[in-house]
Amino acid sequence: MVDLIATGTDLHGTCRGRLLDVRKAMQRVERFMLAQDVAPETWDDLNLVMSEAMTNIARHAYPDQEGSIGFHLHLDQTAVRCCLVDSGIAFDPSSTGRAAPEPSAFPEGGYGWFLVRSLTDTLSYNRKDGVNTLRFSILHGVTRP
Amino acid sequence: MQVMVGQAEDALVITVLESRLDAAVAISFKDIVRDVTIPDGMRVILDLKQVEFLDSSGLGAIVGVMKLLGPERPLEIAALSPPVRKLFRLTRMDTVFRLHDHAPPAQEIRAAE
Repeated sequence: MVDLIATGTDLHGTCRGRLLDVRKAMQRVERFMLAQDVAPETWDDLNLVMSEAMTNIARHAYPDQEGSIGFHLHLDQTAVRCCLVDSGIAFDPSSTGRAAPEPSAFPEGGYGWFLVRSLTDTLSYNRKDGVNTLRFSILHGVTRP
Repeated sequence: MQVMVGQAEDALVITVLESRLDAAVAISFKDIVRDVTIPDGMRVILDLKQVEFLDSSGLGAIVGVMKLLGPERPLEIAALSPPVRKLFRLTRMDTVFRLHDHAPPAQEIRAAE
């Protein structure tokens, strides 16, 4: 289940906090983003960061798979700004993903927050009245190593 | 989740028939490849030409598949799209996997899902 409202350079949506619904939501976000005049790299980065963050909510905030994720995108001249809202279990990512997993150890996980951190310009988390809010921004046309 | 299994001259080619190899399909991808019979000594080339999006869970599943196959059946990866290549670069997985621009021509053996 995915609900969306697009107005100009803003997109508001909600989906169920399940992996398949996150996937469907991202396919709808893709349609919105492709209709905007942004560089393909900006969409690629947003796709990865939003997918990682929403997957994290589906897996860890809603272990019983019951709950919803709200998302809001706003495009301006310099950046894509995203806000994700859920009412699941609290998770403060401020100490997560500071370093990349060592590739030669072939870890099967632990990449998610490192990627989020690598691709975002700003990243903040807030919890208030049982609601988690994650905000991040991705600059247009920035080629990162 | 669907893959196509093909036989090339000296390798087995597994083509992922999905545009997103993400958290929602990562486990079924691993299960499908686990069920493919691959003889020892055979290289395995994972053809990602149809994959436009790979997330950390999809990457974790690829690493898991590499471990399942073991050193007797080395896993190599072909046809990375720009966003997939970027993920490999950011995680430095491009330094530990053998990457190819294209998979070799292969005769289809079967489809699996």
